[in-house]
Amino acid sequence: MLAVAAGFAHTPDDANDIYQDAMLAAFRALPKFKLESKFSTWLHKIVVNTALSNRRKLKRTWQKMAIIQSEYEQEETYIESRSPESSMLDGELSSQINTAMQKLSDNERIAFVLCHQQGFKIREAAEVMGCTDSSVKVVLFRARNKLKSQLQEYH
Amino acid sequence: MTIPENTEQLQLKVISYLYGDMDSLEQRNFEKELETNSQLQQLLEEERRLDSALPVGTQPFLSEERLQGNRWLLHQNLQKQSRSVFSLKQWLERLAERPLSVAFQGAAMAMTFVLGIYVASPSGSTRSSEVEGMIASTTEASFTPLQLVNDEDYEIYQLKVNGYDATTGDIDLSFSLASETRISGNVADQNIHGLMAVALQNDIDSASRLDTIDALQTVSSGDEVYRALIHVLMNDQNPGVRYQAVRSLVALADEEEVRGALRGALRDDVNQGVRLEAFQALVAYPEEETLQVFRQKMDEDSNEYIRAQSRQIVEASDGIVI
Repeated sequence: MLAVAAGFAHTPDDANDIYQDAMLAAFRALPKFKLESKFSTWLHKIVVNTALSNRRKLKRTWQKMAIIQSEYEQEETYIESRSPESSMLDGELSSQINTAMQKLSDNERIAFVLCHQQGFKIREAAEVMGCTDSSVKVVLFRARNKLKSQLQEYH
Repeated sequence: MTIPENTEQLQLKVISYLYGDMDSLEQRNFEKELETNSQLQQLLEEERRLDSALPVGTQPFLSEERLQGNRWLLHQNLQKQSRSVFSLKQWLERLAERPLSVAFQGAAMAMTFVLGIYVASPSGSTRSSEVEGMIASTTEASFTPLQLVNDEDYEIYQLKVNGYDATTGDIDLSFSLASETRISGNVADQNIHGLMAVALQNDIDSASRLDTIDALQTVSSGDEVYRALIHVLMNDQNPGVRYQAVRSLVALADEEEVRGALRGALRDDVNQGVRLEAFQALVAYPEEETLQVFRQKMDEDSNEYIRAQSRQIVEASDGIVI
């Protein structure tokens, strides 16, 4: 779940906060959980909603702070360095992935994190996102197109 | 399968194929079409190039330290959540539901009142020494926590449903009981530091663990104290608490059991501060088990100081002239 939160967040600290908030929200909402849906789907929905509300809450602050913050903020590491020789290249790719992920819209990011990073089936992602399978495919396709153009020098 | 002419629709088909959203028949048809349709081949090739740079399943890398920190924080937060907040209304409601308990408490109050009058009266003076003796013996035993707590004062927390059969209604629950009890004394008192040592190994919050370790630092004697500190060093999820524990254990490094724990911390702890403290304490005891850990650390430790110093000690003990 922390990896899912990290997929949605701007920084590792944000991801940690989203994870904590989401798990507490799930704990509070547990009595309302109905066996009609899968527990993991229900839990992912809570993480997604917490991430979205966290983003909205921080949006204004981010807009003001973005320039100052970008110099100091930490990023998620996507590629664990395999050797000292490849560490610079891996670090660059990791940074590019972070930049590319930030250019995705909320829905594109959710679809990409669920299907590409977490291995969800399209219909499972649709259930979490509360939309149709076709809508998930469309946003996933848009997300992939944006990522392709951002990461073109790496493929 | 009919491949749609529209490129966007084709791309959506490719997405379905890549993310396993086709049944076996659709998949076979798609692959068959792929052999002859060059536009489809090109689209799939483009998508696969992205997947080569960013393979399916690539997600942010989470270090063990970060995972541990989050688990620990979540544990603390959930514990806070699960402790019920005192509500006068609920308390009165619960009381009303237990008429027997109210009657019992009323009777106990009346008995206390009668006993008070009896002790205060001149005719009761001969027996007052017996009562004082009773009171004194109760006071002596007062640091046994459970004797100070009434059944009604317990608080239930960490309730878990271990099993539930919806058809029969059979349920298996586990829960913890807690109650606040206050004990005053000196940390040198064996009963007090013994209690604190036990508490360290139980589920108390990290701030209290830090305070407890701080207080226990002054008590260097007692097996239960250093065993409790070892338990914290080896098991606590909070690096700050482990750090405090290792610092307290440094003074007790002449105990073999403590050195064993310090070697374990140097070998396995993810926190550099903890490893550094353990390393510094072990430098004074260059026995074979310790040198084995140093040999491992001189190549593997992420901390440069530990690597360099371990190498120096190992090479000096092996008689290598630098």
